[in-house]
Amino acid sequence: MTNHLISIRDLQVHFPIKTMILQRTIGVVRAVDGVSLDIEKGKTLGLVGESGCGKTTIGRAIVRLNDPNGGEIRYEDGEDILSLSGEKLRDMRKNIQIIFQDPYSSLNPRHTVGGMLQEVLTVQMHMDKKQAAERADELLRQVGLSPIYALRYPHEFSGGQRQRVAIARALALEPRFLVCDEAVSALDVSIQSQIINLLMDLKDQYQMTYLFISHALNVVEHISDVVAVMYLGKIVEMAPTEEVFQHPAHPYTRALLSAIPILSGRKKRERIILHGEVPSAANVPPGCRFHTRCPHMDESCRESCPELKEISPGHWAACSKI
Amino acid sequence: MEKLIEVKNLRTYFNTPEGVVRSVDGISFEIGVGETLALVGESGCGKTVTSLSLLRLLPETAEVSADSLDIAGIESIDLTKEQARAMRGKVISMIFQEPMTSLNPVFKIERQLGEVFRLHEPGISKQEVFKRSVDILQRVGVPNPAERLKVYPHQLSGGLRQRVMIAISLASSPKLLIADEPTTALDVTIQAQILDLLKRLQEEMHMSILLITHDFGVVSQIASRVAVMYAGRIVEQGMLEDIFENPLHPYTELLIASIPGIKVTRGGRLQTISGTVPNPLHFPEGCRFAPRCPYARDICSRQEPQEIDIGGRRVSCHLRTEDKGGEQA
Amino acid sequence: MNQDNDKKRRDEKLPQAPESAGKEIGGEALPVTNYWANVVRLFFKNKMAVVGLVMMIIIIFMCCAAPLFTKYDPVADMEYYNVKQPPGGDHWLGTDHVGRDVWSRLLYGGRTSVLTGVLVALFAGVIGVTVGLVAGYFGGVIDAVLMRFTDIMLSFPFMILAIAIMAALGSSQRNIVISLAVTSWPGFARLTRSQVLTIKNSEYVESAKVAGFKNARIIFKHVLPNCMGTFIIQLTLTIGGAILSAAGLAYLGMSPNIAEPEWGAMLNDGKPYLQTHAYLTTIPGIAISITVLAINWIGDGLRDAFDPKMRK
Repeated sequence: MTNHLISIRDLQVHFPIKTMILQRTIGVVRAVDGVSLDIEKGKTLGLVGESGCGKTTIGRAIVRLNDPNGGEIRYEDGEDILSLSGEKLRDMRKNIQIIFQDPYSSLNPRHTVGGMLQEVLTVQMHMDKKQAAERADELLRQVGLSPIYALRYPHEFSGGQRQRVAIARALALEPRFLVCDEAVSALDVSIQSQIINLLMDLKDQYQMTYLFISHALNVVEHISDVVAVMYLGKIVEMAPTEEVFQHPAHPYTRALLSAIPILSGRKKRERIILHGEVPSAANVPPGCRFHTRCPHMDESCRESCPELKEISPGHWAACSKI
Repeated sequence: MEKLIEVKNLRTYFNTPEGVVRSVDGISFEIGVGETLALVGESGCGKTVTSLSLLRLLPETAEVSADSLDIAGIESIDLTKEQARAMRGKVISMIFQEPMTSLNPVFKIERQLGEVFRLHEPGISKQEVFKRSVDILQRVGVPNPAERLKVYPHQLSGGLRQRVMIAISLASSPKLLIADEPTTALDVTIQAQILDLLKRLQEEMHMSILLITHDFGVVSQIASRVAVMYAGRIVEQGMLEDIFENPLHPYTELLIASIPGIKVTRGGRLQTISGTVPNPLHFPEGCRFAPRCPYARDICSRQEPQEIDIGGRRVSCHLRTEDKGGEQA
Repeated sequence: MNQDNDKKRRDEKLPQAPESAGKEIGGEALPVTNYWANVVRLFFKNKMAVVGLVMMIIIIFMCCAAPLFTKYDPVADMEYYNVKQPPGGDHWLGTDHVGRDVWSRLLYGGRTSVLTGVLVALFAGVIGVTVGLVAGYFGGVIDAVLMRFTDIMLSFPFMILAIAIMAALGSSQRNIVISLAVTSWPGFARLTRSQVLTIKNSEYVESAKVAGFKNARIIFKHVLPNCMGTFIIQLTLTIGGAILSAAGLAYLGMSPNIAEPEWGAMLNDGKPYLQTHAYLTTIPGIAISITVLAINWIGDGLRDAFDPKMRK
């Protein structure tokens, strides 16, 4: 019996590139290319990386919003989520919910806030109308909104309030695992901090487990217990948060961290400015994927793709130079 | 320091069917030659409208007034459309957040860049335009500039598009570059490249930058002075270190404390600001931050605070006025 | 001194952040508005749309309550001694070639014409929206098959197709409706499909999927309501188009029963006398134009009212 809520093994998600008219497949985007990770119960795993690195694709694969080409995702050492379908899949979905980035498109504009919560409660949680209405009020209160808002439509809310509604809707199913896909990235600083506090409170209250996907390193540092850094569809480094931020091992992680906003009271990090752009996931460079931008690159990096190895207890990195 | 821009009591109001929106309501600031001023604030605080007011790029419904709007020695408040157009590009230039939408998708880079040279120097030869285009792309760090001139914007990555955008806005050698969230749409490592580039170009060309952003991280990397905006007003302005180390206005203080990884240790509770930004149609009486301010007193909701000078910093807060009054007495 | 004061204030602890959970946000007196109320408000802001609506209400009322406005029967009252009377006098819009009152034929004929338009639009709408929804939502092979079929339908000149259907089924009012519905659903299908494709990828539909809702619920509760705006606009425009097409078919002699009043048939009846008695064609022509114009104004108004960009 392990203590893992979610275990991902060798996950592969490829998207075909098709021609406009004939729909012929002319290539493949390896959005996620062999990712394995475990998320411990009650912990938050922060998944960071630049756009197109595949972090969102992993989150969407866990909630089955895309169809992976290979690998497996297990929930509590149970059945592979990817093999579920029909009623079994619908049951499993209650456990695993997602919050999206854009609070303006994640709520149905035609439903009142109370209506969308009650729909989930009556249909999925099998409550009667009265129970559902009471529970909806309770959920709104839990995310810090007044129940009088139940009759309002999404367009009457500000971004932060909408994100609270989205959280309430996810909570309605009493999930144990929540994927937060850039959940605070679209919000203003002061609102962002409210939502982060809320997420952390809810986690403590319900012993939830989070996968927190974000490009904002300072937010990830704040909220996560373990951090995984992705680059071009692969995890390049994974370790407890302190370890990653204090002793980054992979050159990409170091460059990313050096770009974190440094304000007062912090030691200035050495600035590492990477040259060039992130290569396209449709045309992944051979060997180590980072070698085209790596300041420590040599011939061997072009040839073989380094595997993740444990460089100190709990600290994994994929670089042949370590 | 020699001043390039001096704005006194700038007001930009929008007439809407619902009433007058006071997007920018009496702000004063100056930008020195070769200096970077960061205008920081949350969405809807009026920072972008401020920059568009300087450029005179506002819709018909906007009314701009100011006691003084001195841009490079020219009083620009009463400029005609023609004069304002001449000023844009020559004196002030701007880069936007989303480089994809600010480049025209149907024209090649060559044409969009060459247009600027031709506009400011009519009759310039084709070869000269090409030479200068290659030259400026090289300066903004675009690899293989001669090849890149022949492509369409969608064939470039986000970082390269922003570099091209910067090249276009610098082609006319402006004295002031307004950068409106220049790196928000970019990835962290690309963001670092662009900020680095802006800094280098600023030194080379001895130009001033007005940086508009909500991101204190970006501010800390490039700005020398900071002005914090809230609800159409500048609540506090001063040198970067002073603002970060010792914010005088409660809004600045709370805003900085609400960013993860600065004041609070990991996993701790972040500072929040209760309530929401006021509706620009109905700003609260007195200090506009008073309804959300944990230090608010009676006077705050009755009387608007005056801007006062404390050791070279300017702040609009009754608490500071009292401190200063106490000292004099 | 000043510095000390600053420092003192700094040393005071920041006020305790409000508990994010438990404490309620809100209570400001925002007016409770709903989506449809907003649509109605924006619609009534559009003057042309309101004019169109008023015109349409008058037209429908006069057609439905035709006996109140005329004492003549449109079919039975034939005054053989009094044919092709120009407008004026007892028959204030004149009489046609067999001595029937033009005004009463106009009123009773409106019933058929407007009803035809509405029925065609409804049938075409139901078929088209169903095809579009299924194609857009399920995608893949289903989408490819349905949409190629739609494309084939669209590639026929619709008037010729309608005439062919009429020729096969025989001419009756019912068959006019069928042939026009068959030729106008592809428009609905394409429009609905493109809407569904956008809505399907929206995060609220994805949330509904993740919540474990069944496809039927997602389609009818989440996707379909969000297509209603464009559906209603297309519906009004199709009504106008169908009235014109029905008149066109009648003018081409596809009219089922020469005696029954119908605007298109009236045009057809007046055709031989175009040079001598122009009012016989002009009057039904004007009636058709006014009705279609009114419906199109309503459609324009609805489009603006549903457009989210017009919203605050």
